[in-house]
Order: sequence, then structure tokens, then C-alpha cells
Amino acid sequence: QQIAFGGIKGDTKAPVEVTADSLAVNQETGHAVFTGNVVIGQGDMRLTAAQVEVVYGQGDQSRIDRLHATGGVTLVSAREAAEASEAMYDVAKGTVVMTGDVLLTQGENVMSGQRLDVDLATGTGQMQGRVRTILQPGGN
Amino acid sequence: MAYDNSHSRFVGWAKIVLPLIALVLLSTLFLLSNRVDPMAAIPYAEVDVMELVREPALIEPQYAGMTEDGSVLSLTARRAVPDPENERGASAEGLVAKLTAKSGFVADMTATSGVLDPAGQGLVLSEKVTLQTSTGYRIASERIDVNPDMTELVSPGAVSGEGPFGTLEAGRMELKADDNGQVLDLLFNERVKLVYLPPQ
Repeated sequence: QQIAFGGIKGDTKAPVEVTADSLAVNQETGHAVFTGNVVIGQGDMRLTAAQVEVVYGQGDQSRIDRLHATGGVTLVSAREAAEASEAMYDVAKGTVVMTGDVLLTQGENVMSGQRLDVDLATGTGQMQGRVRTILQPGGN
Repeated sequence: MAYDNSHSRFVGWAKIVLPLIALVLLSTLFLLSNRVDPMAAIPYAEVDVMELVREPALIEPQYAGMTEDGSVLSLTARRAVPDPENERGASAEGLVAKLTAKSGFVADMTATSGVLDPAGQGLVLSEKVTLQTSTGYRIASERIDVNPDMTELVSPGAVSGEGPFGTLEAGRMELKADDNGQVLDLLFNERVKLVYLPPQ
């Protein structure tokens, strides 16, 4: 099911800001985990989660490839909000894949499914897996 | 004394003019030569000897030790003065400390002042403390407590700085090793904020 994400059209080159209660970085492997109401912000897109794990580019610790958010994730943008149990934000490609009973609200219409792929660059999203949509008969 | 020929007249004038020139040359010789001041021959140091005697200070003290889990801790200071309160500690200035863990992880720290009390509260670095680690972290803090027994650095106050993947700020920071000193964890807590710039 193809849906337009007008609001989420984020700028994938904008600086990514991650705030959390705490951050633990293993100095051996460089594996970094943010815990405690983590907020990832880029442009006007906000992604909140209980825990976010940083996945680097191959061997290059100065480049973040993906942020793996778990423990109940909400993705909020100008007009849409999406909730799921887990999300994988691919910073390099600018895509967010949310899995685990996804609930998407766009204005008054609500859509739920198992997996939601959002492409921040083009601002489009794709919902899969037992998609159910509740459309409010709009006034227009 | 009128002479009839020019040669004698010339010699007569020469007898007057030449000595005058010699006189002028001789006087300028003494006028232009620089004065030699016999008193300033030996410059001596302006050190306040009394202050040095009254306050026993260690110059360039060095401390080196091994923590229980096998990492080497070394510290040098520009100057250290024994602490009046507790008899073992010493307060120091211009400190440079280095922690080398068994796993090869190295942390270099510098601070303008600090307290060395290996037996008591450990080594406390304060005032403009900078920490640089071999894993690419450069962090500034107001105070870092170095634990001489275990591999542990704690910055109770706010820290800010850079990591390999972006600039970091946090309310508190700790560097801890697990029991056998192998795996080290750098923990930032009390609201950590990271800013990452994706490659343009």
C-alpha cells in the first residue's frame, strides 16, 4: 500500500541529533547504545525510542550507518505520526523501516500493518502486512 | 714671520692645523666608546630564597602505579606542595596523567591543578581537565577522579567533547573496565546529547 508522507520529507544530509539519558560505548568494539527515552532528531523528523543502538559503516567508526531503535518507537513529523515496536533508521540512505504492529495516523485517517518503509528523501511510505485503513469521510 | 716662499708658509700652517686635528680625533675616541660598568659584571638570580625554604615543594614529582586489574597509571606534575590537612596527600599544578589498560587502550589527561592522594581518595584532576583516548575521544571536563586501585575514571560534572562519530555533551562521564581490566566501557549519563554530521 503506497502512501504519501508529505510531512516526513526530511533532509537526509541535515545533522542528526541524538539525546538520551545515557550512552554506553564499548571501547573494544566501539559498539554504542543509547538508553533511556532516546530522541533522534533530523530536520523536523523526530524518532523517539526506549533504546537505540548505533551501527557503523564497515570498520569506519566515524560514520554512522544505521540506528536500530527498539522498545516502542514513535516517528513524528509535521503531519504524520507512526508508532511501532521497532525501527531501523538508515542514516546513509535516509530510510526508516518500522516493524511490529505499526500504527500510522495521518491527519484523521489511521492505518495499521506489520511493516512500514518510509523514504525520508522522497517523503513516501509503504505499509505491508495485513494493512487496515480507517478513512474518515472528510468534509471536502 | 712672513715667509717668502709658499713651502715654508704651508709648513707653518701645517704646524698649527695638524695638532688641532689630532686633538679632535683623540677626544672623539673617548666620547664615543661605551661605558663599561664594573658593578654589573655578575648577574645573579632573583629567586626568593626565603619562600623556597619556608614552603617545601617537590619539583617535577612523578607518580606511577599499577592498578589491581593490570593497567598502568603514571602521572607527572610541574610542582607539588604537601597538603596541610592530611599528611599523605599533596596538591599539584600542571598535571599530565596517562592510563594504559591491558587491552592497549590509552587515556591521556592533562589538568592545571589536582590533588595526589594515592592512599586516600585517589588522584583528583581539576580545573580545565582534558581527556584524550586512543579510541578517538577528546573530552573536556572540570574535574576527573582517577582511581589508583581499579581502572576507573569518573567525571562527576558536565563533560563536552568529540567522539569518533560526532560531538558529545553529557552531565556525567565514567570510564570503567570489567573485572579483569579487559573490556572498557565509556559511559555518559545524565542527559547525553550527540550531534552527528552525515558526510555531505
